[in-house]
Amino acid sequence: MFKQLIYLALLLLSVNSLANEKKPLKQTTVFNETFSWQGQLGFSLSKSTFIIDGIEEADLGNNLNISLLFDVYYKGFFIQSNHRRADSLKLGAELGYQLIVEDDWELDIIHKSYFGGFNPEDIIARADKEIPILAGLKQRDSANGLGLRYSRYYQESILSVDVAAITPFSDDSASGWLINAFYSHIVPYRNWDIYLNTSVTYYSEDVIDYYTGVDASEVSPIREKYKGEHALRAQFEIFAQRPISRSWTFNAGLSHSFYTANIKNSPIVDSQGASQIMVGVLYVF
Amino acid sequence: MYFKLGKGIAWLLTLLSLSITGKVLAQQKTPMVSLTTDIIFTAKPANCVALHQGRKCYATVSLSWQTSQAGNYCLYQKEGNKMMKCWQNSRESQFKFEFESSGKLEYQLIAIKQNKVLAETFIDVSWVHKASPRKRRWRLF
Repeated sequence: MFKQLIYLALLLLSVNSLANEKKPLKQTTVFNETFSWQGQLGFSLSKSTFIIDGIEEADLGNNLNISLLFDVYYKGFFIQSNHRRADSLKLGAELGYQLIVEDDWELDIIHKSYFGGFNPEDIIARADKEIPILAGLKQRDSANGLGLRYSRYYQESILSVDVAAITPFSDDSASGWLINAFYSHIVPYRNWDIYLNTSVTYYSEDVIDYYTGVDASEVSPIREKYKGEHALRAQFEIFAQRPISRSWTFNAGLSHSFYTANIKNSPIVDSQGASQIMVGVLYVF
Repeated sequence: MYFKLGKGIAWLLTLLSLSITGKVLAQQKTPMVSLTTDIIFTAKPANCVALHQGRKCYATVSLSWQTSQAGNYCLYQKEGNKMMKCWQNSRESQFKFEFESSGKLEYQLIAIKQNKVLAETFIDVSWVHKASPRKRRWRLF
């Protein structure tokens, strides 16, 4: 799947891009080349629950984040931080290239993190207590995927579909593929922008196995060997933003994810659902 | 692009940023153009901030005026010559209303008998993000 996507990307890159759309509004010229950018500095407070057993946000420091977000555009290439989603700070930016840009739709090559990782050792150390279900589990890295994104724009909403292959950067990394459909509708109310977001993601067996599977080296008396199965995730989110001054905005978001019931067959999965709530401010450069 | 810079000092910085914004939010008054002496005519807040350029900005605004002599006065919105409120035999008053505009609006205090503009003030509109040159309204950036 990954190789096919690379071939497809190379083929499409040979087509002249009509890339002229994703430009942020500040422009800077370096060595006679002009690029567009926007920078934002964010301070946020968040609270999350997880599907993996034993992970709790007991450590207060874990809830606080300072983040620097850059959106950059240069001749069709872009880095974008989707700062209108509650989990954008955790999953990071998207790197991409615009293949086709029309008034109401767009096709991009995209590289982004589709699934957040976790390190059981760090979690146990931070909690400063024994967490038997996590003890001896190997680290799970973020699942970075390379794929194609089709986006369809409407007056007040966007629908995008990603088909991506998870790109393993070592033998211990996630692999597999996924399809993600995302729909976002904006409701302007006075000075607020309120985004109602929903998404459905299909994860292949390899992806789910990487995060919820238990291999032979991880087996313990309370953790039997287990191979993860493919799964679906539905996500619902509300995200709101309003200006505080010419440089500051206030942001708040609430999201909840549901996984299909088979995810709970894993001995290390505690719940089918995970939630996140965040409030913060962004300074816009 | 995302860099997690730290956790421990985040709360302090968040509070700091909120205190900065609190100061920014402190209600500023507009500069007044008084066409005669001893007249005070101000708008509070003086500036309305929208998220995006071109979008309507909403704010609860108070226009205050004070003159040296009691008389009959009216408040007008200069754009569209729209009368907002009039007072009989008054020296001072204020008028609260819901401001709703995508651009700067000017207001006038008028002496009715003389049909004379005594003072002017305005409410400016600014924004966090410049308008996108793209046709569509929804934007990821």
